[in-house]
Amino acid sequence: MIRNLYFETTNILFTRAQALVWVANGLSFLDLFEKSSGNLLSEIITKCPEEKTLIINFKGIIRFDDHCLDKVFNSLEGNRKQIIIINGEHLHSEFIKLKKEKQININHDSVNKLLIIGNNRPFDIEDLNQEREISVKKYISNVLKSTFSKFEEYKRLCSTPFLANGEFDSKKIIESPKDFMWISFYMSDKLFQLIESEKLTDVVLVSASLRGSSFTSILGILNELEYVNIDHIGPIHKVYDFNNLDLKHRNRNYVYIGDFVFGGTEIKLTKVYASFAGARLDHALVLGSLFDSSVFNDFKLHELNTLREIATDAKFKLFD
Amino acid sequence: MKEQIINVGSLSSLSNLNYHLTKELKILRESYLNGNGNIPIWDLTSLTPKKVSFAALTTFLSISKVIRDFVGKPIEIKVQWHPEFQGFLSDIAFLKISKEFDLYDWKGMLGGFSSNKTSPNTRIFYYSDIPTFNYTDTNCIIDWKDIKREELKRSISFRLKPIFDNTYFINQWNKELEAIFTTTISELVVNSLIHGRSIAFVGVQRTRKGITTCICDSGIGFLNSLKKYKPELIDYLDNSNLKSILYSSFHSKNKIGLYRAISDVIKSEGYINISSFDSEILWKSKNWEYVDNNQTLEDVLKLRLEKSDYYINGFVDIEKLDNGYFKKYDHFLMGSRITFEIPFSHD
Amino acid sequence: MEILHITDLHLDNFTGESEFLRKGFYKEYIDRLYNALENKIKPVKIDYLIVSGDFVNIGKVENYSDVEIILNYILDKFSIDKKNVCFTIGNHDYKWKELDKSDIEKEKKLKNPFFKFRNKYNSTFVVEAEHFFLSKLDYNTYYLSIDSTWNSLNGSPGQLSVSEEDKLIASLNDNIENNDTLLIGCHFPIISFDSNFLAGEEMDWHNNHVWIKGNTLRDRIKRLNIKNIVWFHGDVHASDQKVIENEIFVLTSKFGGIADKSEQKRQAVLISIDESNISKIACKYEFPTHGQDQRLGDWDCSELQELRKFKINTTTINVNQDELTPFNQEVENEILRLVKERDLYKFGRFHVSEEYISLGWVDINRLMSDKELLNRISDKCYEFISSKITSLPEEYLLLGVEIIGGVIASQLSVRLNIKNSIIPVRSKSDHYSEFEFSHSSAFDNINNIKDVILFIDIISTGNTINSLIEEILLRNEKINIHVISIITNDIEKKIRSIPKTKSYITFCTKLKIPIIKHSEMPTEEYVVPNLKF
Repeated sequence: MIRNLYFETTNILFTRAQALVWVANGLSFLDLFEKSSGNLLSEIITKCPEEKTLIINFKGIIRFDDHCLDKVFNSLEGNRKQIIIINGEHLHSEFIKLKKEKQININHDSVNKLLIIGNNRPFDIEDLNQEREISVKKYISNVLKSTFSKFEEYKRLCSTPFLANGEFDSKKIIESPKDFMWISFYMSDKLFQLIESEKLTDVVLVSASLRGSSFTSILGILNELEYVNIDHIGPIHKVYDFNNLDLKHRNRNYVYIGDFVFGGTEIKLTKVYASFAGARLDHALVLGSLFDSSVFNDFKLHELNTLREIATDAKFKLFD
Repeated sequence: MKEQIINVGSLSSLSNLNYHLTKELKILRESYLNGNGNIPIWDLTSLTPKKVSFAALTTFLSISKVIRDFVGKPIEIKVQWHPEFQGFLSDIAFLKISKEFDLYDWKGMLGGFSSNKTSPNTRIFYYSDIPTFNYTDTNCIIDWKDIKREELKRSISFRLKPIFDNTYFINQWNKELEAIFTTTISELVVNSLIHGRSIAFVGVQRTRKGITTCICDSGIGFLNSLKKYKPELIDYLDNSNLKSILYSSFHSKNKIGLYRAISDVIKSEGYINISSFDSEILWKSKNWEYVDNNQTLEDVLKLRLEKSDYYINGFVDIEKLDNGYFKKYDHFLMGSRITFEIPFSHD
Repeated sequence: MEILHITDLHLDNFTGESEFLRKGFYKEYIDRLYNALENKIKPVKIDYLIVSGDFVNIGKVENYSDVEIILNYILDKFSIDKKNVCFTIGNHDYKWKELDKSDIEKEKKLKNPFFKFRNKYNSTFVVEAEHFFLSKLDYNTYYLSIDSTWNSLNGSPGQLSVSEEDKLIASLNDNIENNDTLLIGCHFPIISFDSNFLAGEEMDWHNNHVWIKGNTLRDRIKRLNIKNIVWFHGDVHASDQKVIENEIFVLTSKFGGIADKSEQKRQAVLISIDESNISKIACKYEFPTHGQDQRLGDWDCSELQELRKFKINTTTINVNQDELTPFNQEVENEILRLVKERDLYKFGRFHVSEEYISLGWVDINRLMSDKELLNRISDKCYEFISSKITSLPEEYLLLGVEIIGGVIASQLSVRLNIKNSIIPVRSKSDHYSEFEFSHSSAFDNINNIKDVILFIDIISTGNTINSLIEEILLRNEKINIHVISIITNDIEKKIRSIPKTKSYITFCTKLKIPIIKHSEMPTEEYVVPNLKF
């Protein structure tokens, strides 16, 4: 189980505090780091070789519970291991308080907005961050690639004019506890950036498929946003929950959450249904798209990773 | 064996209930000591339905449970027939809990009311999973407390949800307030379970002013608990419930415990009232600072509260005393009761 | 099981003239008891004898050999096996007056004669410590003997330290199951009884005779959730009983001693325990006149009186039970509240299958978009599933049916590190990818899966869930299936159990969704469907 909770590269191990919270205590208090989460963290610290640095992203954590870091500080005894906390400056005084009398170094690097705990050996944060980002990108890429299953012969992709030699199936991500968790976190980061950069307010997440709803619900929880799952807008659209379009969503910004996009029909249909409710849908966030986002005029498409780069095995041709 | 009618008063406040019950329970207790136990009957005919205090109701439930267990069967309860009030009791779960514990024999006076007619801003619930493990193993106690707190926070947060699911209060009920609440209540419940060794009854009420909570148990109380589990303190406590409450308020400084609960509430400009057996402390910022200025626990224990400006005699309404107080009674009410209020900030 | 309870024999002088249990009278006394009981229950068949202390009088330990004679006669008369005598020490059973201060080693030495006497009957125990011992009487019955005089200075009730209490509780925890019966011998009463008529005759009677300091121990034993706890007390020479939930306290008056002018009657009590209740016959030795010559009196036994009736433990996991209860009441209350307040129940014509029409529709997607509710349900599902997991995560599979099932399954799978899969059931038309139901990496391994947990939003007629179960069993007939539903339709033919499943829980049992056959409705041209799958 612990192997799912961190990534390892040449010089670093990295993890995220909210991942530990999810596994330890579920999704109800994602901003609270409790003892059970701390116990998982100390297991990771134990696994981390002394020469590597453990980077922990404390994004989303606002509060600590008492005793939550007892085992963590025990694992850091002797200051042999090095931990870097990112997105955790606001927790500096809490770390110090919870350290109590233990002789563990805790330093604050206000320039780089980091906390450094344990071993004070020098490091280049840019290099480490780059290593981490490359690893994340590679992971996402591999996961998305692995969702591709080849057909025995070319088949028509539903509601598109294309024949394909295979299909991307996000079920493979959802089915895997590790992949579903980490892809959700990376989608959540992407969603956060999208909302910031597009200056969106009054956001409601919306999905229109079975797979999309798994991502929508978790993103709604991670990003603290409302969400709506429209039941069965499919290629033959039978909307089962006709009442789902909540009139109090008038003038809200719907952001479509989905898995893989080809023709974008589903998104367009969702946009139409959204307008019945008085809401606007100008943005869609998906795992990957076959086409470049410039192809879509009705909405702005954002992807976790572009399929075109990674799907080297996938082949498409026009249906005639 | 003769009947003893115990008039619980108007139930308009915890002080009022305290005043009525302590005398009567003393008589009941002595009747058993003398070899001829009285059969108690609860008399609720004096209550004023629209002015009932939920803290008094919660405490009454807790004491009913203990007396019912002691007597061994449901206790007759005399009420006037107020269907609206009974509907209210149903909506806040008072009737459900009393039925679960088989507390009362209503003698046919319960009924004819509709429930789910009010949207009460009050809820009463309880926690009864008192630990059974080794009490001398302090590590075991700490582990249990930590796990229990995690579980209780979620349970309390979910139980409070209906009270705050209201557009007016969504602005008031923010994450920070929720955090203070769930942390404070979970800490106090854990204390009742592990130190009071008794079922913890919790009452929560939301008003326009703020949220008030009462956590009570009918357990062994602060003094007996300290005597049992920290026998090294016996000489310092002077057999005083007041000193025991004082010690308990401060001994968990720098960690989660009653100290943090009190500090959080006072920082939010609220108050916290702790009573156990024959003593009571109302913590407000002034008397809290007065004690908190002491450097060590030893200094705190040396304080002679009876000599301080905050010590009072006689029964006084809480609202009149803005600086907080320390108080002793002639009679005692078993167990511990903690009531606190956090006001909403009005910008 | 039949238990004979006697106490306070107080043997002072076996060869004297005034005691009930003296050499010249004890046989007749015991014979008469047997006869009186035989008039009430034939045959008299006693399984265990419990004697709750004060075998001898004022520390006369030299009398134990005589007590042995009396005891053996009782065993012989009532055909009780020697090893089935349950002992408890009382304050008269050792010379406490020789203790002028707390001295555990000296106390143990003074109590030695009692234990030597006891060991002649039974010396093998499940747990034995200085202040208690625990024996197993049969497959689900235990006897705990507590020394309520432990660490006492003046013959009054004693006190156990916290660690001594801990040791006792730990031994119960280690050995006793929820469905067991625990009989406890404790000389001093641990609770106050209503009629302690002697209380007025002695200063500080209560502190001298009621084991107030034992109350935390009593409470801790009660919290162990044992099916039946029966305390057997003596000391006060009075007779009473109390029943408090699963605890019964039996106070029996003295069996021996000398005749005197007080109101105390000699007593013996028969306690009968079976599958569903506990009953009592109280026998007292009555005198026809005010005179107290023992030969003039006789035993008079009451009718069988029921003390407690109990039901078999029900759990919230419903398998073939009559009552369907929600897994968590708070969650059910919240579901009902949200359905009401957010207007999530619609009435109309909803085609849910080829055979049935639903006249009601619950907007479950909107209901479950309430994050607190979703998280609470997830947490409760986690609790339930954790209790089921006994082997490796690879041997389990979470299957989420449609949107809500899929959402819960995917989120829980992270916590449990168990694979999950989403199953669509409402659209089986061509446009769905052929990779839907069968092609899922989770199903690739179906032969190695031992347990499947199915999450479904609403169980109405049960058709959907039953056909799903059939599909799963087709692939692996040995799989254990557990079903979790958010709502179970509260119709007359409510689905209380699901065939071929190992367990089934639901969160809401109180919503009625009327179901009607297509053939019983007007055709669509008269009543247009609101919804059609």
